[in-house]
Amino acid sequence: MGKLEDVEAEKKLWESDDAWELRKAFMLAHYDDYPKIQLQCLSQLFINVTLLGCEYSQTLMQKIRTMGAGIAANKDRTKTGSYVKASAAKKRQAVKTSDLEGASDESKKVKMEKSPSPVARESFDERLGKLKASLAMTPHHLTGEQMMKTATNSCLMKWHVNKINQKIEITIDRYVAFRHTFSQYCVDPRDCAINTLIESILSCDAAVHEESYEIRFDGVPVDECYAKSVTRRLAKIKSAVSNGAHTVKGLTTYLDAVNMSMIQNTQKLEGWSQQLDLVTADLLLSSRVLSSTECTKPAMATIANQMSEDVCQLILNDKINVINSMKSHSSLAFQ
Amino acid sequence: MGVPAFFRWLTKKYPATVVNANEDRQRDQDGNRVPVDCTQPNPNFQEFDNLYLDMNGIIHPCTHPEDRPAPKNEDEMFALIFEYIDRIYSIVRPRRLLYMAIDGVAPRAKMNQQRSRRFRASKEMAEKEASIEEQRNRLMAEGIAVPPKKKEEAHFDSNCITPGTPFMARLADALRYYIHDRVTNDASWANIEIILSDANVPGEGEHKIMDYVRKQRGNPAHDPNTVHCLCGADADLIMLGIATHEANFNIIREEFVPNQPRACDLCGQYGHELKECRGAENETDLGDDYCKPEQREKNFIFLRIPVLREYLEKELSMPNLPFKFDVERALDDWVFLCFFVGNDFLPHLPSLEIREGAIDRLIKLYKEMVYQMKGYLTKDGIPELDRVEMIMKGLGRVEDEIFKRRQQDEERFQENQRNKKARMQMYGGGGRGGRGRGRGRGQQPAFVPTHGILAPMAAPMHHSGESTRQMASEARQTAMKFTNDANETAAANLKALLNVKGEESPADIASRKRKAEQPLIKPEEEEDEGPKDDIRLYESGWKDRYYRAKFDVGSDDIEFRHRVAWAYVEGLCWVLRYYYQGCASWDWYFPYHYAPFASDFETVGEFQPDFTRPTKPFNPLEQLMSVFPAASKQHLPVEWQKLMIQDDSPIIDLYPADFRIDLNGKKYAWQGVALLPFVDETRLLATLQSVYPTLTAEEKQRNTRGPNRIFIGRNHKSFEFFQQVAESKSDDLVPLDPTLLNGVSGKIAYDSTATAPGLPFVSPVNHDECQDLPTNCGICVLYEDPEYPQDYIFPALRLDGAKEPEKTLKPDDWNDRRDGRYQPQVGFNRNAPRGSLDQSGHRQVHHYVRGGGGGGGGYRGNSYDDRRGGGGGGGGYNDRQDFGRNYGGRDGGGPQRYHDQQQQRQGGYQGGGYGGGYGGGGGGGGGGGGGSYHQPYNQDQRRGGRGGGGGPPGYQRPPYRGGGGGGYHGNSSWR
Repeated sequence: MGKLEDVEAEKKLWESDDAWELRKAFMLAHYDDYPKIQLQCLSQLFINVTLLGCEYSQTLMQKIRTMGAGIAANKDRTKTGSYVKASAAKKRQAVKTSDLEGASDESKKVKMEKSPSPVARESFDERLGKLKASLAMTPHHLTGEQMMKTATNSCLMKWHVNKINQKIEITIDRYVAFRHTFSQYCVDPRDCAINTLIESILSCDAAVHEESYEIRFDGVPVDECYAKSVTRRLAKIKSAVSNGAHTVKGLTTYLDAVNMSMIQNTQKLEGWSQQLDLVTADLLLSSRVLSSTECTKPAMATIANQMSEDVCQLILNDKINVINSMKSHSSLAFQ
Repeated sequence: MGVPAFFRWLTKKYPATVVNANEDRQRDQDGNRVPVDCTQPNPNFQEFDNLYLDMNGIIHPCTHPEDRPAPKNEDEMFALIFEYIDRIYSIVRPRRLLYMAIDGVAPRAKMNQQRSRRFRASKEMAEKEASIEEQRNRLMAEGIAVPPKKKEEAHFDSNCITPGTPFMARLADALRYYIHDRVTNDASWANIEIILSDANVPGEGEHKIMDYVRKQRGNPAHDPNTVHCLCGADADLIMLGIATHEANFNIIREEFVPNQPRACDLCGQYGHELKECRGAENETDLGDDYCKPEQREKNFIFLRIPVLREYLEKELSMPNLPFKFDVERALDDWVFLCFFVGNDFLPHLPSLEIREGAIDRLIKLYKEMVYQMKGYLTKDGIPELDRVEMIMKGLGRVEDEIFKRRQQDEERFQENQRNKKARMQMYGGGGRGGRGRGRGRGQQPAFVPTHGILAPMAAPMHHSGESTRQMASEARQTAMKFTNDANETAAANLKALLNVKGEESPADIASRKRKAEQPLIKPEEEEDEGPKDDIRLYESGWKDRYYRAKFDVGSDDIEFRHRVAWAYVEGLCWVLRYYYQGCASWDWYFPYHYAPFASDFETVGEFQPDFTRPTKPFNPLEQLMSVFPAASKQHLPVEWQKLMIQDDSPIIDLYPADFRIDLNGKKYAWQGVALLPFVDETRLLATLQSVYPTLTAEEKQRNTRGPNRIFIGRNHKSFEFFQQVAESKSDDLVPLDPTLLNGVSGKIAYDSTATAPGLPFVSPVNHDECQDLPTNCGICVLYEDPEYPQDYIFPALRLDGAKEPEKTLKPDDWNDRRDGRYQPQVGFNRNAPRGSLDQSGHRQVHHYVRGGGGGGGGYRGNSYDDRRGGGGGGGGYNDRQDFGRNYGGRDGGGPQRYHDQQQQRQGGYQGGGYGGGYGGGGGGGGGGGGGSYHQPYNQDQRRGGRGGGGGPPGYQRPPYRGGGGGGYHGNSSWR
């Protein structure tokens, strides 16, 4: 059999058996479709991508993935060790855990389980469904950014965060999925935005709205996505609130569970009084003006507790609805 | 050698090998260049015959300096390179030969390293650009003025310093001009030969130099007592220096100063990092005083191989050997052992880490094993593999233990760090109060009184009404928060520090109280443990895990491990031969990213390396294709570029857009292993055949292998002979007469590209200091090394007639009572004059030193013999004839002026003899040096650099004041 011998001759002296088996399988699978020199190149590309973890241009990666589908699947090669992408490496700083690759293996596995069907023919809504599925599969200890990256990689989608001053817009492929203008006081709008997007994808049905080039979750326009998400999240913690303590500390932990962190802001007003605000994820929960006698620390703590009590009652109450509003402290408010 | 820590290890262990270079001042107070007369005797009291320049060590710092603004354009770069060469020339002052070698196409074995360096460099550049851009945008958003962006074309890609690029061709032209210019205009260049080996001559720079030396040594005309000096910073030059077995070989390099202040990448100001940049106007800017050009002028140091040989002779002495002890062979073995710890061509063994004393461990092992081995490891650069196997087995036995100990050390270090961090937080690190700059940030005094008479106060200011009101309100608020029992709390805290933990003390209550007062919602501080280690070399089963993870082979595949070990041993044979005999094979390389373990070398003794197959180096452009990432494609011909980017190119697999770096247990990305695919030579060359026809004539010229060139001036003894050869205009090689050329042998031929003597020479460099030559007085012909037969083995021996240089180290049998006090040798020469003061000089120095702080050490008024003291005297050394000279390395214009005042004052000085006054002048200069040095030194200290001795940087300062590097693994990079 000429074909087999021809391929066998390609084995390099130093190649390890496992790597050679992979390459051989690849070359045999595509032996008739390419001239020899191209075949050598492609098989080497395949090895570089699967074993060394190199990356090439988008189109090339796509091609290698489709050509190599099913070849690497029967082998479980989870590499151990700590790798960092060259593009993420800093010159003079020690490498942090967050820079390491945790995602590549995940995305590979997800890819290999599916049969390689031509991607172009799927409707975008189906692909959004896939995105939801793979998001649900990504480990939740990652940061929001890493989760999105992993999931979009495995579904071959692009996503991009666009930030202009306080306005944040997230696009998936060419559709806008999230748009919101945060207030000046929001500490980390980018994280807020990504977390919101993940929450929306996981808990709603996404659909493309062709006229406006938007991805709408449960049919809500993109601009209100944030407000809706916050409403949903407040609803989610209702049971926890009803069972737990209604103090500042308690409220903070409930909100943390849904990726919203609570901040206390104080502001000096005219004369001796101050204003105390409780803000979470750019939503003004409650605000009170303190008289001059209440400005001491212990007094403020008790007042904060009272305010949290009120907020908890509000959450337990059935009719919460959050809407956009441009106040000075936050971009959201209760209706 | 890519072993950053090697040089530091060597100079720490063998300190007397390092000698500070003395040099004449290059610039006067105003910063104008002063011509140095190099025909004068050498300021180091040692005359050198041959100077070899490894040009790449010069080109890199001149084209993209780390510690000063980059030169604006290529012409400035060339001018800087010329100035640098001039400076080295004025220190060394060669009397016979100057050899300049630019890196040419390197052997395949080096290519993997070059490739990974260049891929990383382009990634790092992109990363730096991105972070500057990000910071710029952040500042713009905050509305802070930002300096304008640099133009795109102004950016210099350091990857273009690779043989075959247009830049290197222009550089070679510029150097040719430089040589002609100096030969024409500088008297000290009149009688020497200059050899230029440009980037078209294949081979790495330092190895081209070694080939030259080796081939000269084989000739009877060679003077065995030639004094060599090689300029370069690589650690492998030390190996090369030992491998030549020449009697007097020296290396000159820039002194490495850790923790140099760096300018911010965005605004170009000093004193902060990019992350802390606050835009164009900046209060934290320390200004130009922080980093004066004079301070930036780095010192040069000599590394004396003869002294290193003395040290090693002592260390390697083995009593009662079963065979005859031969120092030269033992030294060769030492070189071989050093290659295990690291070299440019092979990854180092996992168990050998130079910072853990790997070389000492190996030498100890070697000295134990020699008695069983019954002979040396190597001969003339060819290792005896059965003996190598014995050594490796010995190492394999302790490998387990090495890994375990490494883990213990690491854990202990982590523990210490954690404790330190905790301590820092305890004593008020927590972000309140002003934050310091640099490394000492967050360190505040444990207790600062906040009120009362001892509280720190601001300077008095005039306030407007509004700000007074604001201050008053703040004061009232703090008064409101202030509780009466603050004093009790402080006392309780003190007690808690003294108390043993355990029973409930008042401090616990107090601390609980304080907890309640703290803000309830704290920003979470995430503990960043280093990357986790899945190989766990310190637990059993480590070997299987390592091979599984790094090589993708199963635990049962012993045969594969042996194959890796064989490849590694073949590599060792190749490397040793490369250093002792020249390049054995141009296309051999080590085809794995990782090294095997020492215990896998079990079957190595049977291995027979075979390098007899004839091989030839790549052409320059082929080499470029195999080491460049696609990001540096602009240095290649247009048609060739397409092969790097088009998806259907048959070699696209060589150019990944992004790749992984395996940290392999290290902390920094640059220490890790870049996982790049190896180059498939046959496929690359086959593909390039298709684009060869598209080359222009100039590109074809650049793509050829070129010859060396030799230059001499009009007054040289051989000028007529050279002229005859040049005028014959034939390509035949004519043998040289070594007696007329200071012993250089070889062959020369007519060079068609050269400018004949007598004609004008147009300068290729557009710079003030590079004018055209009206009449060229130099002559240039092609040069070829003497030829040797194919299978000639260069013996690694001392030559007959080589004089053993004078001993520098203290003899073991020195007896103070019999021989008197031992005087350590400081410079090259035991008889070199030293600075010293007599009585009246001491009085004068004392008079001036008492007031302002002079040097670092205390001034010893009483001891009249101040030679060994690090005191105020003994600083600068002044030549009797020429008071303008200053051998103090680092002092700038300041001390010189101080010294001049001294001289003027001396005119009216009645008391004391001439000698006293003269000595006093010298001492004054030294003291001034100390003063000028003092301030920056303090700043250095504050930034965390730990310098060595505190004395003034004078002629007598202790050799090599190496700072302890920061960090556990040593963060300062050493080359």
